[in-house]
Amino acid sequence: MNIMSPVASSSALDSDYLLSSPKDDEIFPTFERRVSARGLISKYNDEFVLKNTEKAYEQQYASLYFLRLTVLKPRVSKVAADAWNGMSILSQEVKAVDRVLDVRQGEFCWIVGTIYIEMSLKPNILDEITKEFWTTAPISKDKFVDPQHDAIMLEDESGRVNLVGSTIKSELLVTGCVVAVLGSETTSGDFDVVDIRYPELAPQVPREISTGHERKYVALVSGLQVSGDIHETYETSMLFEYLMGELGGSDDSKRASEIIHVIIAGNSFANRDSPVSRDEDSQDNNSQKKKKKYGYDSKSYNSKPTEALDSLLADLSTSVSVDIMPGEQDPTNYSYPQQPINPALVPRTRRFLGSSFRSVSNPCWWDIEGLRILGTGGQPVDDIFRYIEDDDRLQMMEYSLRWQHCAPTAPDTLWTYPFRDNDPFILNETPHLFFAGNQPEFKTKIVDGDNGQRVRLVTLPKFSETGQVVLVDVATLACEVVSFGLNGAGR
Amino acid sequence: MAPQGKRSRSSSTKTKAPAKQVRLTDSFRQKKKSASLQSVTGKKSSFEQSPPEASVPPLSTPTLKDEVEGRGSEIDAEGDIESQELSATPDEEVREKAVEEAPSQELEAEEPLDFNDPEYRAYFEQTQKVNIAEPIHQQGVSTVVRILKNFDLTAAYGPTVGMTRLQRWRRAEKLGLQPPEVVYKILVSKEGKSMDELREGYLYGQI
Repeated sequence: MNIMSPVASSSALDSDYLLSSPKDDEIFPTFERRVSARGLISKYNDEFVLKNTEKAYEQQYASLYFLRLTVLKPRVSKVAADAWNGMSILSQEVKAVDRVLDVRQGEFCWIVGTIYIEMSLKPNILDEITKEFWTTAPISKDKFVDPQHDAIMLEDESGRVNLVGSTIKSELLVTGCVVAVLGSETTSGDFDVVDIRYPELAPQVPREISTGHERKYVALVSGLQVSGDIHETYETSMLFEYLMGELGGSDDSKRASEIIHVIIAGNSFANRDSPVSRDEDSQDNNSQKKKKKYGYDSKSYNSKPTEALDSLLADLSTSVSVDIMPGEQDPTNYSYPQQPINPALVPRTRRFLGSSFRSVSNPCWWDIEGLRILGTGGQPVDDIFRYIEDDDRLQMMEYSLRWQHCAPTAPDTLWTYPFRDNDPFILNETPHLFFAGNQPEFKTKIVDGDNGQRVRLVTLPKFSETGQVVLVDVATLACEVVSFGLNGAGR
Repeated sequence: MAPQGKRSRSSSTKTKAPAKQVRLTDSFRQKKKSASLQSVTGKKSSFEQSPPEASVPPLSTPTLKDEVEGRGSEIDAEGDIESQELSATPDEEVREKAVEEAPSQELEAEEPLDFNDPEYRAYFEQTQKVNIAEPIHQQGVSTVVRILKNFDLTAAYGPTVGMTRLQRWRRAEKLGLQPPEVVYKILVSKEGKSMDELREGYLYGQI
């Protein structure tokens, strides 16, 4: 019989430690999780969460574009002036022009405005009307780009001007971003672009990197798609057990104890049909009215996803602080910014509201031990993806930071609330960590700004497809991925 | 003391108010008549008895000019929008400011609007200097209404649809566009808050 000292039992672990017989005097190490400062940055989040008394829909979306241009125009003008003032092209000095329509032929000047890209393949509301008369089925595509025929224009309060030239074709632009362009007007009235500037990365709040021995991680997971039926995958329960420190040996428990915060970023509820509906669909066309019991139609409403997620979150909230952020398929409003999921949907977890559970809006800003995080459920990135040729989602996120706007395609193609007094998607500061949930795969990179800003960009993969959760070290911004799978088998 | 103060003010303007009815454009005439009658009878009743209207007791109402200037200095003290928002301990400061601003909005004095203040005419003449021609179909319209319509049409302050003029003014001020204070004075007056024609944009009821 081996007598193992208490120290050795935690450090010297054989590979078959878990499979060996238990020892009598073994002492199991217990790990404690630190209580950390994890707050929301309310001055930004308050603009995303709309109060019930203030949801007015009489205003039009023009206010949103006006606000965006008015706030971002001085910023991009400054960058453009720094770059182009004093420059002369063809022995002509370039100057700034206030209004887009005031450009004159043959003069080199620079103008600031909002980009608008005229795309023929973009889904148009008028197509719905023509569909009543024609029967061609619409082809659903991933992307609506047509590089040969798309027209890029610059717009401000005076009007629009067409942008032409090879420089502009090679830039990554979407409708709604504010830029400065240098060039001159051609004979046909278009603006031939020579150079382009963005507002670039906003100032960043400096962060003190703590040099303690303890490592702290923030766990990011998205796309849980909890369904609650019998075929629920094991990966989800493994994930929750891991986060609570119940899975694996003491190494895993130790790592799990270093996780100070869990952010569940979108699409946590699965869309599952009620199991009843498949059998009785054909029979009950007449007796539909009888079926209404308990206030809901049991044929179309399935409460299993909600109950399953509720029990998982309630268990998790006893151990670590959790934030849940809605995604595209979650039961909250569809338009962006999404309001927080009502905690009444998760009654058992609701008891932890105010202590370790929190329901946040999409997008959301956090401040966790000095690390400022901006997180989205992925809708802006998905929307930008549809309207440009590239596939590099990290590049789209980087450009979002450079445009100082986290959802430039709103309100053109991304549904949003018609904000009247401020555009809450304008980034007044650059976060330290910027993540987008529900993306096809895990990717990450670091982006450096001109003034010493440093951001870590992360795309979170869907957990239901990949079984991956991302751990970000709070001090060093290093990223690790923990994957859950059964026997290494693909899903 | 306060009701007496109000009484003296209303007695001095009481003779003026019925004689000087504001000439109104057609679309507002019906709504306006009922509103103006109310305001006139309101003044009468405040003269005769302790009024329900003076239930908002203006204890020591600062004059409008002081208020606007005070507000202006508050904005200056806050500095640039960008630098304000980057303070390291943001949340409490932002909340305190919001609390400060809320009571000052409630204390805005509801002064009755003097439609014939010569300051308005001077201001309007100045704004019209950039125009080549006279405004069309505005012969009988009062200066105050013209000033407000000019404010609506100024593109620099953004779209006008779907909000009151005061909301648009406040938004323009928050963005640092320095909207004219004359317009603010008109909009926070009693008539500016109660009369649809003054309070809402020129497209109200049409869009």
